[in-house]
Amino acid sequence: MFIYQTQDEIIDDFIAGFSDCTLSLPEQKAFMEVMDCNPAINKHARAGKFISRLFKQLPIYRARDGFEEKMAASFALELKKDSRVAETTA
Amino acid sequence: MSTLTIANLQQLSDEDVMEQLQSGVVQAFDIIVKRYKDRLHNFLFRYTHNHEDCEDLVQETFLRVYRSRHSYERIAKLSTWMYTIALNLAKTMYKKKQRMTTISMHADESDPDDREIMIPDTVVLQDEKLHQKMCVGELEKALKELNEEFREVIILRDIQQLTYEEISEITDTAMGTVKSRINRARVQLQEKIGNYVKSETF
Repeated sequence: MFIYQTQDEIIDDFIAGFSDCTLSLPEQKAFMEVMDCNPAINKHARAGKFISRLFKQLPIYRARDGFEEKMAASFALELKKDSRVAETTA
Repeated sequence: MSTLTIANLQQLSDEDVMEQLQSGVVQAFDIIVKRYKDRLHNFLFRYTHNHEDCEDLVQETFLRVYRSRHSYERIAKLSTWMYTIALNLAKTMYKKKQRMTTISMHADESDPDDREIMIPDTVVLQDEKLHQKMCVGELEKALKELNEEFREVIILRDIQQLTYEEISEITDTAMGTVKSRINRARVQLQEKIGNYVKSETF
């Protein structure tokens, strides 16, 4: 029986491809046959697909209003520091 | 000094904008902030879990980008270089936070009231939307419990949607190892949230 080693690069490539839905149709068909024969690969591949789909439902966190202004203020201080250093080294 | 206007700068690729910043066009910094503030916020929030700390980290990332602008070389994508800086900051902060949590959550064995309370969850979720919401909530929780090596690659891949090549560069890890870690991380996550997932979902 085929045994899946967790460091098998080819299998990892296929599992990643299956999870990300980037396998071609023939690749997918062939890989699903491998999955049917090996429960460990099957588990990894199905978990991969399920989890990567679930991640797409996570909320997206964005910078809050006013972030750019705060950033600009910090950057202005940074520039001031820079010019002070330039003055002292001149 | 270049005479590029903000409108001109906006047309440039990230790497060209960075080149402008390197040559002293400070307005280029604002363009980089505009382009990356949300992406970095979404990335770093997975480490801070609150907006205030996250904003501080995002600000610090941008300031470090500015301070080390001359060490950036065009052979790398600007995004990859920025994520490397952000990830290093996040890891440092995360380690500090973990140390604090370990101390504050330590149970006092001499205090009979200081113990974990188990609340049995017997509610069967029928509603699909609620079920999905629970899964997502559990996923966020499970993500926090992953070990650092797994967390960073899974966040970069499944949340930030970066390519395996970019993740390999950012984490300075062989691509084969990145793929293997991502696959194993997904299995661990699925095992952790397993109780909330209906069998027919698989």
